[in-house]
Amino acid sequence: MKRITILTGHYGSGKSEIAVNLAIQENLNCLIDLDIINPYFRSRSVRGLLESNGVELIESTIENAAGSDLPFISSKGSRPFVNRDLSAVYDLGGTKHGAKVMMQFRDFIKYPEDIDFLVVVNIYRPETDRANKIIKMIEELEASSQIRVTGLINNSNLMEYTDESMIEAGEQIIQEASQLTGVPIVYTFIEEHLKTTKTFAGENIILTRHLAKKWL
Amino acid sequence: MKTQTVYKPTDGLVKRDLSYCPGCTHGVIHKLVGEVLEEKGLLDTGVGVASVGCSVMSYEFFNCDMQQAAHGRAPAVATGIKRVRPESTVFTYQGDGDLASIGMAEIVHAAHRGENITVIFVNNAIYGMTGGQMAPTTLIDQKTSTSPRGRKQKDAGLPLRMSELLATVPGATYLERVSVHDPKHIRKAKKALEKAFEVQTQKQGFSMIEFVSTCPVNWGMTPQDSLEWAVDNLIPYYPLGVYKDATKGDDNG
Amino acid sequence: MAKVLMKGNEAMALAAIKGGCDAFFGYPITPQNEIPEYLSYHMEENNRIFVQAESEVAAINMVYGAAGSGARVLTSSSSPGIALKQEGISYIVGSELPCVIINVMRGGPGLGGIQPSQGDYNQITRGGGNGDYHLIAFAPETLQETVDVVKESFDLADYYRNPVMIAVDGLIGQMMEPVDMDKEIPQKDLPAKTWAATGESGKRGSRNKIVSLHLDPYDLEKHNLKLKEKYDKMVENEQRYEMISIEDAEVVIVAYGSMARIARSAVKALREEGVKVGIIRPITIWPFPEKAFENLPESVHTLLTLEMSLGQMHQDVKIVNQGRYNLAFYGRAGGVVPETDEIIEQVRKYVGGNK
Ligand SMILES: Cc1ncc(C[n+]2csc(CCOP(=O)(O)OP(=O)(O)O)c2C)c(N)n1
Ligand code: SF4
Ligand SMILES: [Mg+2]
Repeated sequence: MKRITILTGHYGSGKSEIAVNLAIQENLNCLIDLDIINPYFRSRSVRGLLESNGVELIESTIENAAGSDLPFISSKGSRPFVNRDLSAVYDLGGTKHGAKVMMQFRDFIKYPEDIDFLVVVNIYRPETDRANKIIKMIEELEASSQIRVTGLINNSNLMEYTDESMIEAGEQIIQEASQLTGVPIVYTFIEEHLKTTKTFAGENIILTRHLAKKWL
Repeated sequence: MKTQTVYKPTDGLVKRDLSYCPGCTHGVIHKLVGEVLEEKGLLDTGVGVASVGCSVMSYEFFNCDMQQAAHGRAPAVATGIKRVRPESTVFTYQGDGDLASIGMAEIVHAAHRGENITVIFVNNAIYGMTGGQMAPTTLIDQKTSTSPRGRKQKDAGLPLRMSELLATVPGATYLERVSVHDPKHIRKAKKALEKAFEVQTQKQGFSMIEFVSTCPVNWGMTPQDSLEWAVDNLIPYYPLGVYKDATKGDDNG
Repeated sequence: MAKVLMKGNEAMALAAIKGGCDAFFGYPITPQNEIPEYLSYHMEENNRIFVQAESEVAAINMVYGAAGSGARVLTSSSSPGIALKQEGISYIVGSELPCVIINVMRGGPGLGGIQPSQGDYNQITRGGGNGDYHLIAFAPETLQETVDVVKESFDLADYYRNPVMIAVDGLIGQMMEPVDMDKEIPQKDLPAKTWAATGESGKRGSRNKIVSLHLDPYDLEKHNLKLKEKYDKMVENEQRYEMISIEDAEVVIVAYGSMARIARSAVKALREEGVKVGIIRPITIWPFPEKAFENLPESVHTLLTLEMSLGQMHQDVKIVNQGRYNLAFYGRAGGVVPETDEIIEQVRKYVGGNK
């Protein structure tokens, strides 16, 4: 994995859960929550969990106000782009509106080779249920963030109703988009409850849900 | 050796970091308002009215009494304050969604009554706080989260010019549009604010300074690019200048 | 049909399109922004109307105009915005017009906060506007139920010529859940809207007028009594609720929306331990499901109202209870969402207690 991973995609594609999982499982130095789209269920709501795992959380200029919708982006978000000692995952808000926040840091990006810009895809989201829609989304996200997409993540799921066949169906459609664009699938995330023995495209990572509450 | 103070943060602002995104011109405008209040000795009598928008927390920043108003209603709240406390210095700080959309009736009627208040109007052509929706001031073809194909005249009309509109209201006294994209314009903007507060202290009626402002985050631009975009796109549509000055007698023609 | 994963607000917006919504008028406010954002893109695609109004006051009056000329109309907002719409809602009811209003509730009073709340219960069920009026208000618990009632609401509104509100707390607007967007829903046989002011009096040969003004008090009273008949019919036919694990329950929780979800997970855990607890889940908060309280089993001794507000629905529970059971209340406010364990602890206080 590269030093910096930036996660983008449609809202509800699972970016924040993946960001938190990556930060913890890969022992990253920081998680930068740049989600100005969602007011709830953001990675900043699990500050305690991240900090106890040694992950620094960077979010708004008004810290610890996880319950506000004020968009305020913190300039601290530029640190990993200039300091090569830091590993980080960036969690962007959904859609191209969420991705455009990356523009704030464009002039700080000194080492583009250190960055993976990954699109999280769940084919059970109607906006990304076909290869052509996924490709269109990739183009939109690149246009609004001005960063090239370097990989795709298969996170096809229906939450607790997910089964192996759904991940496979996802892989098929995302593979098609991958072949047409040349952008590889770099990860497949697998819901914790599945306990599958199968292997899927890219690196396979077990996803523990930290943001959604039990009763959701 | 003699030391000379060349710069000191204004006492017009509370000593804490402003919360705005890096490069957002809300910050510059706050500083100017704070400086003018301090330099004119108006902090002790000041009552500011915070509106609903990215500046909703401005009651934490301006170093004087503050009240927070409902979305769009700041000029009415300010009217209430000024009428019962005529010796106080009353100002509102409002965004373009707040002032030109939901608060249109309140701003027009405050001007119309010649309410002796000062309005700081921050026009960034978008709803910053709620995630970049279209504002009445959004330019034609500008894409926002509720004009995903770009603003179209046939559906959303042409962008509203508030200084020009209020200049047609007989009761208004002083209206000027300024920008803060470079030091020269910042100095000019400060002069305009000084003038506006003088109008109030001289009991000459309603004054408003409109700032052409930026929202790098929701425009999806770097702070530098957003200043350039404002100069290239906003200022041509929203020309700078004095739109009304009735301080030297009647200018209601 | 296959299920898809949807976000609550987006699901409601799509459900409205599927429910035949012709026009949407709204104004941005968190936590419901995905509704206008979704519709700003997809209404045009479907050849329908989307207008971002200058305020909630304007939006609800655009709804009044469009509904009065016969269209199926939607507006959506969140608590402070709904407060601004109340005048318009009163006019719409008074003029007997159908429309659908989505309220994604957040904490108050005043600007309050943006986290989930059920603090609008009174505003919705008592009517924030003037006069004797009511509107059917759904308070669904899952995204599937939400989508289904949004679709059905357009029919119900037309049927009664009265607004229907979908009242969800912010959590339901913001959460993700699998939904079948095309599930069949009950449909009504609806007469043509011959009353609408469509601008076709020439063709029609008579004029249609949409008014709520009745200067003669006897005339206005007659109008009110006619509306009352409608409300009585709604009370008779539209009470909806779900009874969960009631058969042998000692303690019955009364909870709706997200609070019911949390209660459900608490009841599941408590039942595993053998604690006899059930839930009455209002699906409509107006009409309040009085029928659910009629024939409770002998075992019940306590009704425990749970809210994400401070005792608003509890007033209705008091009214239906008429002194029969012990009453208890637990609520959180301001956007605080209780944990399952908190609810379990509350229930424990009352089990084993006697009448
Ligand atoms: C009655 C009501 N309606 C809607 C909102 C949601 N809201 C908060 S701020 C805002 C718009 C802010 O835009 P603007 O005034 O331009 O300020 P900016 O954030 O751009 O500085 C809206 C619609 C609200 N708080 N209250
Ligand atoms: S969202 Fe826009 S207006 Fe608001 S603080 Fe950030 S840059 Fe400024
Ligand atoms: Mg604005």
